[in-house]
Amino acid sequence: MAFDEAFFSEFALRGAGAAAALEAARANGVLAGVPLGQWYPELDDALLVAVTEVHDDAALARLARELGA
Amino acid sequence: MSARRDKQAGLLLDEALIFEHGSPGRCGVDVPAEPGAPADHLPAELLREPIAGFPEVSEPEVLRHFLRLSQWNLGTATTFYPLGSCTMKYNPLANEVAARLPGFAALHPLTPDAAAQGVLELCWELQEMLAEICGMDAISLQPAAGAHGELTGMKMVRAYHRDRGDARRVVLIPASAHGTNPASAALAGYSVQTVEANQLGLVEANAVRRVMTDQVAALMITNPNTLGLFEREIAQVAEVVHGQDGLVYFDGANLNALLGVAKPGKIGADVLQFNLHKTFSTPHGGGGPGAGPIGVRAPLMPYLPGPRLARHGDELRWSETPPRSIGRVRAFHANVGMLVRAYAYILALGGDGLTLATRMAVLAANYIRARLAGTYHLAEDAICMHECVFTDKTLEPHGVKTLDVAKRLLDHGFYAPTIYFPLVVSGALMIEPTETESKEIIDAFIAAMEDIAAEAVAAPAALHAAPTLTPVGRLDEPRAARRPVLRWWPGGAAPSPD
Repeated sequence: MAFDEAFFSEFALRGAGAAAALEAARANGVLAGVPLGQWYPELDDALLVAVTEVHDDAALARLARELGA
Repeated sequence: MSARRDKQAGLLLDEALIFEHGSPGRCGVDVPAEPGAPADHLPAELLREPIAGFPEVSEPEVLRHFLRLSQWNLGTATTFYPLGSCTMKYNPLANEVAARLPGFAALHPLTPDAAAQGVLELCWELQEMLAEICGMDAISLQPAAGAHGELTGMKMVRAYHRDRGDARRVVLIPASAHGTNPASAALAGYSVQTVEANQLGLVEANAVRRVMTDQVAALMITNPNTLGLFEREIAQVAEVVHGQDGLVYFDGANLNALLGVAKPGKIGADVLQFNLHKTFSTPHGGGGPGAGPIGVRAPLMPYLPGPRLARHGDELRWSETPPRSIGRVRAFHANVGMLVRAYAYILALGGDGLTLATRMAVLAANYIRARLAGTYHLAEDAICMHECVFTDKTLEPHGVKTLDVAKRLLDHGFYAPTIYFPLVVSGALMIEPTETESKEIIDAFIAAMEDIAAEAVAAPAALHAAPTLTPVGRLDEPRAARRPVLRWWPGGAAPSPD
């Protein structure tokens, strides 16, 4: 987690491999998050994740796998 | 037979306000009940107090209520809609199918370019198509409406002159221009000077020459103009403006008269907007969303909004910002659903089809002009382009005005033409049939107009009372504007301000 605060409907993840993980996930058909560096240069290793209520457990598990969790 | 209400029998479906439907405790959706009261499960800040008169209605009540209200409107899906200057052509349903393809409709605006190549390719190709249609060098799809396109174009004009250390402050606009033109010029920081038209309602190069100075940044011209007449001296007018380093803003709102016939970029335009919701059959729907892409000639390309699409090998990306860009004027891919519809329309018609559309639109307008010329007074007795303008001059002796004609047309089942515009014509009645109506429909409209003209002589009072076959009759428009009642109150009356 990028921030140690309560969050509402989306959260930021941070890690050196964020960009590569996003790209690898996309190649597998999963848009895993939005890279935050485009708006916040200091967060160029962070991505924003929002899954909403429409995805089931299997989809969430797949997202976690794609992001290397 | 006992009707439930006076106007609710057979196919006459009167409709009460939603607040007058339902009964206490009725609801539209059943959800599994939790034991106990809502307060047992939800924090206090998420609970609301009862609202007086809040409708409690079933799903069929809701469906019928709004479906009936929707049928109280006249639209291109229900009738002929000759609203001049608005190009209310029929919007093909195939466009709706295209816009609802999941790859377009469900695409998230933040999808990475690499995963959105389909829609980017569509945008790229639409840019190419629009550039070809208008003879311009580059297109921006960003502006979200015609007037937004005008403002974007005028901001580019401003940036162009500012870059040259040339702080011009004046924009010339003919009296017959679209009403948004002066507003767009003013918003971009210019003062507006009017160019008078000649007796035929046209702008002459000599008239422009008299007012053109090195303080004039641009001339904004609508062609065909709002009288539906082609500006014959457009090329000479552009020469005069260009001769003093001014630019020509070409209002493309009336482009439906020019497809395949004239390219604005070849007759002097430096910048123009496309109204996709007019010319290219995307819906006008409730004030939006529209789409007003702009086209520019090469000298203005450095000022286009960014980012722009660029090819990187096989991939398109929003990666290029012009060096002197005025900046972004719309988020994401613009009103992309409208772009998909316009693209589908252009593909479906092809070049020959677009040309035929223009020719048929011009033919239909001239057919109406010729058929009604003996019945109504023509603002300009000349061959017109895609629309024709009559006045109420021959009706005045009978105390009948343009507004009465427009209201009576509703009783005949037609939407009314544009009225009291253009402003340069007293009592204007502006008819734009477009190319999508059959001769039978147009003949029926002409017959209705003839009936109304006869009624103006025989029974003018009946016209003053029109419409009588609509859910509500003649409205008190000044009172509605000055003292609008915008909400329902229990008991039907607003509480006294005291």
